[in-house]
Amino acid sequence: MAFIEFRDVSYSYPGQKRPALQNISFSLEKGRHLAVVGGNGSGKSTLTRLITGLVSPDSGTVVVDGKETSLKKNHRHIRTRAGLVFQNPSTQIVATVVREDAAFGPENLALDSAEIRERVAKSLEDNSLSPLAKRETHMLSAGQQQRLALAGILAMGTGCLILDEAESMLNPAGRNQLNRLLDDLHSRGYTIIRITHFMEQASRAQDLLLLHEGRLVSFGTPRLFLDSIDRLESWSLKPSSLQSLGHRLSPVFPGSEAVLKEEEMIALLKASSPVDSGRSAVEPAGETVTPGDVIMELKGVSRAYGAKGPSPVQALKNVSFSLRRGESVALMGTTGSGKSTFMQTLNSLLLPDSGEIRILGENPLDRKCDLQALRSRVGLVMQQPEKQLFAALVGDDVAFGPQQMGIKGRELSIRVWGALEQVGLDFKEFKDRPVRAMSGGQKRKAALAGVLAMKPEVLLLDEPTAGLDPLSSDNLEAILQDLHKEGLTLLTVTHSVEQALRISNRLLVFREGELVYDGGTAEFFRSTNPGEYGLDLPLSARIGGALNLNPLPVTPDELVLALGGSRREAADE
Amino acid sequence: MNDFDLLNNISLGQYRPGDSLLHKLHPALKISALVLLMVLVLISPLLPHLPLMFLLITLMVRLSGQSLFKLLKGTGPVLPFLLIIALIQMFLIPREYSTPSLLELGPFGVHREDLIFTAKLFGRFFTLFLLFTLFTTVTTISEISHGAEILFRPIGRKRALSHDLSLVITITFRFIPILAMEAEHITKAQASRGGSFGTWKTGLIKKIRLYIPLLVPLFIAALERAETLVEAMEARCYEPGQERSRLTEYAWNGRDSWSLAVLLILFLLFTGSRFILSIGGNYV
Repeated sequence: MAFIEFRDVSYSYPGQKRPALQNISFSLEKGRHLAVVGGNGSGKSTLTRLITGLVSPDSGTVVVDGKETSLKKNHRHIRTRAGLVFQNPSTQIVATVVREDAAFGPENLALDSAEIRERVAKSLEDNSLSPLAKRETHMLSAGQQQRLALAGILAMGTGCLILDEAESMLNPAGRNQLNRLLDDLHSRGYTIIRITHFMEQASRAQDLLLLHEGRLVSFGTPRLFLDSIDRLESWSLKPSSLQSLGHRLSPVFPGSEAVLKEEEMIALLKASSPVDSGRSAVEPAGETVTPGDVIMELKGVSRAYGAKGPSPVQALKNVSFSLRRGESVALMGTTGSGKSTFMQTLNSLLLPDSGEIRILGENPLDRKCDLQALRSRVGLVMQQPEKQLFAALVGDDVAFGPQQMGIKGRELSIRVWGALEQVGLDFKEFKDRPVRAMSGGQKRKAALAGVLAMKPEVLLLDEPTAGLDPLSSDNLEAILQDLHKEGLTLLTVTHSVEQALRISNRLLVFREGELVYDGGTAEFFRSTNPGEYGLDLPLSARIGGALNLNPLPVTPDELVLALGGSRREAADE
Repeated sequence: MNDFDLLNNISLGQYRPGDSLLHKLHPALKISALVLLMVLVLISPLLPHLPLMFLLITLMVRLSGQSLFKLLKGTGPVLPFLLIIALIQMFLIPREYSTPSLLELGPFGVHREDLIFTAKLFGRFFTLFLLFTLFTTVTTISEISHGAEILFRPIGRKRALSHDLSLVITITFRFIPILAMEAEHITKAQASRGGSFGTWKTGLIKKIRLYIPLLVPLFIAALERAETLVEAMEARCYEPGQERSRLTEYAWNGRDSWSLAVLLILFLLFTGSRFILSIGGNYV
C-alpha cells in the first residue's frame, strides 16, 4: 500500500480565487526519495501542508499511512509519521533552549520524561548538536537552527521527512552537511520528500514531482529534465549546471548530455578520454576591466557588537579593503563570518570602532558627515528585501527613497519609471499594482527598484537570488550583470560558488570577522581549499579535480576548453 | 551610534548558570518565594525592616555566587528618571506635615516626611530590583514556565490549562529576540533607503513619521512569524488543551522543604512585627 496517496485533490486558500492546487493525484511508496519542483507560487508548500493535515483539501482525499488527513483524530498518527521542516529555520523553533526545543514534539505526545530525554539525546547526537544542547536557540547559526529543526522532528520518531526548501538559507558547507545527513537517513529507510529550487538537488532524487501553477505536470523520475529540456523554462525551471555542461561537452563526449549526476559524469569522462594533463590551455576568465578611481577604502577597521554586554562579539577584525569604481566583487563566507557587518559598514549603517574609513570621498566617522545622503549614494539591498516593502502600491514604495532625498513631482516620476524599467518591470503596468498582488520574483525586483531609484553609485546586495525559483533567479542575475555593464559598482554576497564565478572576477572571503582572501575568484578555487572557509568547489572544478586536470578548470568554459582541447589532440594522434 | 543594536539594549535579567542552592531550588518554590518577598518589601517600613530586607537579599545574592554590584548595574539607565521623581516627591507633592520644614527654597520646602518618603521610595525600588534580577539570574525561562505550570494547576480543571499557560510564557520569551532582530533588520533597510534612523541628527516629528514605514513591515513580519510558528507547533503534534509531558520533571526534596520553612518563618516574623507589634511606626 502506498505511504502517501493524493486522490484528485484541490485546494484554495480562503479569499483567493485561483486554487493553490488543482486535481492532484499521485501515490508514493515508503522509503522513496522524492523531489518536488516548480516555480515560486506553483503550490509546492501547499502540498506539504496537505500531507501533514495542516490544511484539508476542498475536494478529493489525501491519505497518509492509511489514514485520511482531513479527519482531526488522525492528525497525531499522521504527524508522528511524516514530519515537516520549514524553509526558514528560525521560525519553527518553539523553545528558548536547544534541548527543550528538541523535546517539544515528544512532550506533546505526553511521553515519559525518561523516554523524552533518551530521544532528545539521540536526535541531537544524530544532528551533531549534542555540544550545544544547553545553548539558547537564538544564538545558533542558520545551519545549526536548521539541524535543530530536523532534530525536533526526528525526536518524534517519524519515518518520513518533508523539507520545504530547507537548504535555501544555508551556505555551501551547511547544505553539504544537510545532504549527507539526509542521504544517511534515506539509506536507513526514511522516506524523504524535498521541495527544492536547486536543480542539482532535484536531479539526485529517485522520484520527481513537477508542479506548475497549481497543477501536476509530471510525476516520474528526474529523467524528465532530460526529456523535456526545451520546456523547462515554461515551468520556471532551467537545466542544472551539470546538464548545461553535458550539453556543451556532447560534441566531444557523446552521451554526456544525458547525464544527471556528477559521479556519472565523472565516470563517463574518465572512461572516454585519456586526459593529457599538461597540455590543456586555460584562458583567464572574463575581460579585465579597466579600473576606475578608488571610491571606498577601509584601513584596519574593527567592529564589535555588545561591547559593554557580558559576551562581546568581534564581528570585524582589522579589515583593510579598497574598491574601485566599476568593479564587481563577490563576497562569501559562513553565517556569522562578518559579511553582513562588512556590508553595513560600507553603507555607513554601522560605524567602525577603530580604523579608518572613506566612502565616496566622505568620512562617516566625522560628525559633520551627512550619513543620510551618503547612504543613498551607496544602495544596500538586504536579504529578502521584499519583506521590507511597506507601501500599498509598488510605485509608492519605489518612490520612498528619492522622496527622502527631497525629489518631487515630474523628476520623481522619472526616477520611479527609470528604476522599474531597469529591473524589467513595466512602469504603466506596475506602478499602481498592489504590492501584495505580485509574485515572489516580482516583489524582489520591485525592492531592488526601490534602491535603484536613488541612483546609487555603488550597489551592495545581500544574497539577491536566495529563495527564488531557477528562472527568476537567472533573470535577476542578468539584470544585475546589465547594471554592472552600465557602470554600476557591485558588491554581492552569495552562497553559490557558481554565481560568484559568473558575476565577478574579484572575490572576498570572510572567516570569523577577518578578511582572509581578497583576489581573483577563479584563483581562489585553484589555490586554496574552499572547505576551510565553509565553502565548496564549483562543479567544473570538482569534475576537473576528479579527472586530475592541471591547471584546475574553474568555470564551465575552462572545463569545456580543457576537455575539448585534450580530446581533439588525442584524436589527431 | 548603537541605535540598531536592539537586542543588547534589552536588559531583562539574564540567566547565569550556576550550581548554588538558589539555582537548584524547585522552580515553583522560587516563584512563590519571589512573590512572598515582593509583598514583604512592599509592606516594609523604612526602619528597621527595609534595610533588613535588603541585607537578607544581599545574603541570598552571596549564596547564589553572584556579585551584588553586577546585579545592581542594570539600574543605571533608570537612575535619572528616579532622581526626577525623587525631586518632584520632595518639593512638589504636599503632605500632612507635623514638623517644620528643614529647608526652604523660595515657595518650596522640604520636610522630614518628604525625606522619609523619598528614602522609602529609593529603598523599595533598589530592593525590589535586586530581588527580581536575582530571581531571573538563577531561574531559566523553562523553570519559570514549569513553575508557573505547577502553581496554576489547582486553577485549571484539567492539567492542560496550566500546560498552555506555561507555553504562553515560553513563547513570549522566545519572541523577544525574534522581534528585536526583525525590527533591527527593517530599521536598517529603511535607513539605507534614506530614512534618518541612526544619523547624527534627527528631528522629533520626522522621527515619528519615520516609524510608520517601520511598523507596517514589523507587524506583517510578526504576524507571519506567529502563523509559521503555529504551523510548526501543529506539525509537531501540539494541540491546545491536550495533556503534555515534560522533558525535566522537578522533584521536591529536603532542601526545598527547609527553604520553604525558613521563608514562612521569615514572612511571619516580618508581618507579625509589623502589624501586631507595630515596630517601625505607621508609615506605609
